[in-house]
Amino acid sequence: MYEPGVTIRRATQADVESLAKLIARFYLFNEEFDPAMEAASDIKEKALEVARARVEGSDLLLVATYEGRVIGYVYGVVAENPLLARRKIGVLRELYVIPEERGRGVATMLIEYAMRELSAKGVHYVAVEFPARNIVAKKFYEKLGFREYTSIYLKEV
Amino acid sequence: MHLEVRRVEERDLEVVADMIARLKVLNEELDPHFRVVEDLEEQARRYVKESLRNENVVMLVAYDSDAGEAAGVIRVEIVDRVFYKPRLKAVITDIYVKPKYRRRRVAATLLEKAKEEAKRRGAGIITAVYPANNVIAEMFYEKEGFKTLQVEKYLPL
Repeated sequence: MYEPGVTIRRATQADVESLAKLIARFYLFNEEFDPAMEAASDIKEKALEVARARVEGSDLLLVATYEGRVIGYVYGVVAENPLLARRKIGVLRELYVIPEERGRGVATMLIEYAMRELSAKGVHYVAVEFPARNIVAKKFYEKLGFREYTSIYLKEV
Repeated sequence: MHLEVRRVEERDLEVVADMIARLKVLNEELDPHFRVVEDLEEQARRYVKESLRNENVVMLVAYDSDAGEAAGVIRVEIVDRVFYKPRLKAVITDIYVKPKYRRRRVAATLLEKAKEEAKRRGAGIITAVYPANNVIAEMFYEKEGFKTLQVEKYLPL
């Protein structure tokens, strides 16, 4: 199911603008699942700032490209808890593939590459975050062998 | 929040078209078979305009009068089932609530008003059509007591 023309690589300075577009789309999609995820009103400008900062230095920032175009990305961090026996865990915070390129294994390729990168950074596990109501994401990660790990509950103050 | 539900009018065109477009983008996110067209905004405006002229269409907007902002929209088509009784059915073709207005019963209020209007027009049943992958819609209709009436199968050509 993998598309031969799709390349996964680390994001570079040249990707900032296309990456920012995908970050904004990711947030506009996620806000559909919960009002607590309402995107900033200037999400497009903010996404550009964030994309710039992330390209400068991130634990994990990969892009998928097809015919020179950026069609997806994954952003992750390495979290460390000295109280755990296996204290390093990679957390995929954001993953997005543009709708027109879905269904050809791009997200799977991004995750596999991310797992390798994070493994090289000494993590023992890779976790992935997504809105509780995103059943499509839930099914997708379960298919890839991920299991339910922590739950986050939320209440308005 | 003070919610007012009323008929969509010409002056609501932009804001209603925008919500319809967001609904289509959400469907696109959830299933690649719902890839949106390039001129989505233009098509959405046309769709709303035509709906305003169509006497078999009921379009209601929920308006937050405190914020002076539209919170959500519902579009219902009255269809003659010809072969079946009751002959008239009301079909919810579109329903969308802006993310920040979610979880405040805006959709439920829109649905109630749409049901009243459909009944007034002689419809004996109300149904909803939405993509199978739209889990947000799925949960909403289930909560509102809707059951499956028909299924739509597909085969790519």
